[in-house]
Amino acid sequence: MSTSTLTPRTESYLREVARRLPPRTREDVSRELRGTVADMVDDGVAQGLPPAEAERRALEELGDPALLAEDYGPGPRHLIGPAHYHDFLELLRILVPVLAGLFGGLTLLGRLFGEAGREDLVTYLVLSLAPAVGAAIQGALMGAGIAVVVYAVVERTEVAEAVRRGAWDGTAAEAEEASRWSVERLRPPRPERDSTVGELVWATIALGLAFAAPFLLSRPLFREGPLAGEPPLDPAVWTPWVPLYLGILLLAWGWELLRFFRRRWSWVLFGINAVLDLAMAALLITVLRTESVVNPVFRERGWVGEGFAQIGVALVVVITVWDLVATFLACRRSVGRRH
Amino acid sequence: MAAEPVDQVVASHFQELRRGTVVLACLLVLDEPRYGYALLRTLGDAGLDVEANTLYPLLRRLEAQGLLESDWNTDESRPRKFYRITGLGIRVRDALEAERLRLDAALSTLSRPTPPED
Repeated sequence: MSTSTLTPRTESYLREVARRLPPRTREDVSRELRGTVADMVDDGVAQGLPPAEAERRALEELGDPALLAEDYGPGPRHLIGPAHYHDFLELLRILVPVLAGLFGGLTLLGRLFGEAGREDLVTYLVLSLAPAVGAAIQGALMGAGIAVVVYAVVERTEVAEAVRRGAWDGTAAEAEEASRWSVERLRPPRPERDSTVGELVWATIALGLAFAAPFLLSRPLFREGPLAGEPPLDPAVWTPWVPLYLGILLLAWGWELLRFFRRRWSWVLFGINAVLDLAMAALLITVLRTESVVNPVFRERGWVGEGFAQIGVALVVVITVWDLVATFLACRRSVGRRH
Repeated sequence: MAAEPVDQVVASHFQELRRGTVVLACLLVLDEPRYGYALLRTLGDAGLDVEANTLYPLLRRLEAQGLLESDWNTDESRPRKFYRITGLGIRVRDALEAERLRLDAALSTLSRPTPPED
């Protein structure tokens, strides 16, 4: 058998394989493959092929160096395997909306205060909303990233554990016994949930914005021009109406928490919400009918017309009725499913 | 067009069916130390066409599991890694062989000769 010297092509093939292998096996695997390629080339030459062609065939038979190196690799060749895929999706479903909502909501609040006093409304909204959307996207990406990293690490530590236990020695049977699934591992049945963490986060953001509104509207809307220094909200509504309004919002947030922790709808829950809805509607309608609400300067300048109060009352009625109907239907559906 | 997917399905099931047999084949012939390429040819001559890129990583895995042990032979001009079965490997081989026979018998009792069509 002749000792054919290997060409740079083979050497670069071997390098491509070796650089993807764990350092401690590199040398050994390269040495073995080098001998194999030489043997295969010898066979090809014995069959009458020119050496270069024999080498090409040998390397092509071994195939893509990346795939070959993967076959040597010890770890799992996937990021997240079937054993954890479902849990991964569940974590993803929680983290993405929660972090997106948290980042987006906090940024929006910060910007709404930070940008107050802008000359025109469109610029004000764009400057407040655009960074909030950006922050929400960042939050979503961060949530997805955390979920991926957590389960990729879990996947790899479990493989390392299995290797450490040793697949064939005596303790393996006990270890396997301990890790085997049994009915005892079933989670105790938990009551199903009608509301999600995402819903709680969004409700918190919406209520947070409503809470911030009177403070925002008490700042001057314009820095220049005829309305400079004038807040859009009539300062007279602060006593006693705004504290009442804020109080009802706090109760509404408490109700959202209660709904989340109770997990299921109940008629009591519906009743509390209805009371809060009606209290808020009564408060807003009273304020709209008895107070100016908007800064009188705005009315004098003709910025706010006579229809303001009627439109406001109509809106309050529509939103209240809509919420009552929606919560009634959701509650009836949930309670109905349980009987 | 219609034939190709069937061929692909058959090929993929063939692969599944053969997967475990390569391990058993290696354990059966490695009572005698052999290096990778010689083993490849032995298997090929016996009618088991195993690809080099399947066999070499497999040998490493079997060694890592303690079923094979290896030694470098540097007496000749071309250094070669010789693999040999271990005591543990023999136990595993016997168990696999028994299972292979049992499966063969089980499948034979299930299969019936198809009646001629006309």
